[in-house]
Amino acid sequence: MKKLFFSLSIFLLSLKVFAGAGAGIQHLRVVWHEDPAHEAYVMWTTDKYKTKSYLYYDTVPRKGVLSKYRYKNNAKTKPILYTLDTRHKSKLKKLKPNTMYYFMAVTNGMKSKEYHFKTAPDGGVNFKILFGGDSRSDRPKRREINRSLSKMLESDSSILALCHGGDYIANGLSWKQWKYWLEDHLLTVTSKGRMLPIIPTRGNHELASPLFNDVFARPGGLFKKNYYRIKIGDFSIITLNSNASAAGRQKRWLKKTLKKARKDSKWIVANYHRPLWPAVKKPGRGIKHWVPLFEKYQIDMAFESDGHVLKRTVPIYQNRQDPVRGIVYVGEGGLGVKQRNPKKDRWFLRSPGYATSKHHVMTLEVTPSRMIYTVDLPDGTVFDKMELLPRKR
Amino acid sequence: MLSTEGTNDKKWGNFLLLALFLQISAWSYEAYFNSTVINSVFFLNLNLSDSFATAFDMVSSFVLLGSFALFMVTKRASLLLIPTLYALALPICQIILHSSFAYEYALLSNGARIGLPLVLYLFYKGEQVWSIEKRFIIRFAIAMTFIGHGIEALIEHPKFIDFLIESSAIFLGYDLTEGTAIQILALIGAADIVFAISGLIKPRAWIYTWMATWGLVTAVCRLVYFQWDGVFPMLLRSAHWALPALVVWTILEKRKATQPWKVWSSVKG
Repeated sequence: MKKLFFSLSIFLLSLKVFAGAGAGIQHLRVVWHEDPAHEAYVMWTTDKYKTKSYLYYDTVPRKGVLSKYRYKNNAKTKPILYTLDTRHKSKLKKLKPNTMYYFMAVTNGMKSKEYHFKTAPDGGVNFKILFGGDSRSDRPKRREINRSLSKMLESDSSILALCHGGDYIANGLSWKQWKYWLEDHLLTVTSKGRMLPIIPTRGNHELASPLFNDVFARPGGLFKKNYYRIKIGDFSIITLNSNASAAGRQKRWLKKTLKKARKDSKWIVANYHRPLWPAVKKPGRGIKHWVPLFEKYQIDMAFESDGHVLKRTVPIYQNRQDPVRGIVYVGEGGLGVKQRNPKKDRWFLRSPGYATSKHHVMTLEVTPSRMIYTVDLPDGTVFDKMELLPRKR
Repeated sequence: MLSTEGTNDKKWGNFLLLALFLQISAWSYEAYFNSTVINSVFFLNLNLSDSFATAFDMVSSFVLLGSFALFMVTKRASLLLIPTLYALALPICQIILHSSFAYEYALLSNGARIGLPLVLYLFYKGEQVWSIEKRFIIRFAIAMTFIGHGIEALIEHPKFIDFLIESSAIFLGYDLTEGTAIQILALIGAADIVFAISGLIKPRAWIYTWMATWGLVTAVCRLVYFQWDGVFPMLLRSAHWALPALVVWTILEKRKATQPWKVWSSVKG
């Protein structure tokens, strides 16, 4: 009888332990919007509605001793639509540029591990940003690529963040798929706990889903439909939303922003989901409304996703190859999605451009005198490299 | 084989066949030179190879054109089931993919494109569906398309916003704001739905005249927006004006207003 009672107790205890295992702090992530030198969002999920949620952070590691952290920030909590899960969002302000921040999330007594991330510099420092898109539909491949991103981050401390070009998952309305993506994103964390902040872009598979804004803290703010400029020193990434009207407010905003960026940024790159010079499908509506502005204000290059290939166009200016004023369009998405066969016969893909079928991540190294663009394959080999010099604007 | 008698029916049969030919040409072009949603479902959802999915697109473009040509020679109604099934497969794949704006309404929006080959199939099978008593199926297909597009307009389809802004700039030289475009879209969307439902309840010539005109305008606006690249998107929407035009004709025929000088008074009812 005693044995039976003992076994039953052990069984019930283990049930409690396993039930509790899923109830912790999940999906910790760092999200960057406009000013990553001074601001960042740290976000996470719990599986019940919890109201007391805090982020403890400091510029030195505190190894999980909460009382030692210099800063404590309240996190806003919000139930995730049609689920029992809760999203927690802590906006860190007045951060020091180019500084490592160590943090722990705490929700109703549950604590995360200590993680850290580096804020963007304010200028004068070389850094790298990773670019890539389309991590949907092939989860094992996505996980493999995320592990390779972790290795890159581990071996190169100048990497700051991942600018994801959209199509994180197949159905933007499915929280289950988002959860898988968020779990998989944790594979990019290094063994020492360094996180890779995300610069988000809305893709066509995110549709108009509110979950995108729940996951990434509404990039672009309340009144803009997920288009925004992120500025790191004299480098600007202009992220556009190819799911929204290309000709309306977004075009006006783009024009205004490019005018401003021309004055305050040496380097300007555009980033959006639907390709304007596609290697597989038809061009997005931005070709009519955005490309003339890109050309007028002479952006340095543009990152595209959606096609599930790897491509680099010839420098394009007014529908022709132009090595001086032309803009190179790269990318098309290979962070996990199955790759397609590109239509290589399109004029803008001829040499020095190309299109091929390879999973990839792109790195942009920003220095005062040049930008160096490289394409890395998941096995670590460098597939493509290109240098860009500052433009006369 | 054609079972209705009279040259007018034949004339309209030929008119709808022309519209179907334009629609099939557009499908074939898209499938051959670009890629379709069926391709994406094969490749990503069914995990088939890209080569297979592309080959399917190419073969389907030939099958569509070939089946139509064969139909023109043999007049075997069953050949029209091929474009009907293809028309049905496209919105279903759109729904499976979850990748396009308002994909939930794809079956509604594609109603006329599905309806056109279906109507012709029924007609040539000998059902005489466009006699006054049996043309409900045509009106239903039109209503689906107008309700679908009406909903898309009400939920602010970004493509429609861009079309309005661009058309205003080209034709009026006026820089329309996004806010105004959205307000206009709300009116257009509401009108689409009201016309679709009232036409379904009681077919009136003026309602379907409006629908045929609007169907033509919205098809041609692809040409305005995309220039030469808009030719096939415009042809793809041939059913949007051809089917309402057929309904107008059947109403006028009933009122025996085939003489040109009596048409307008008959349209007014």
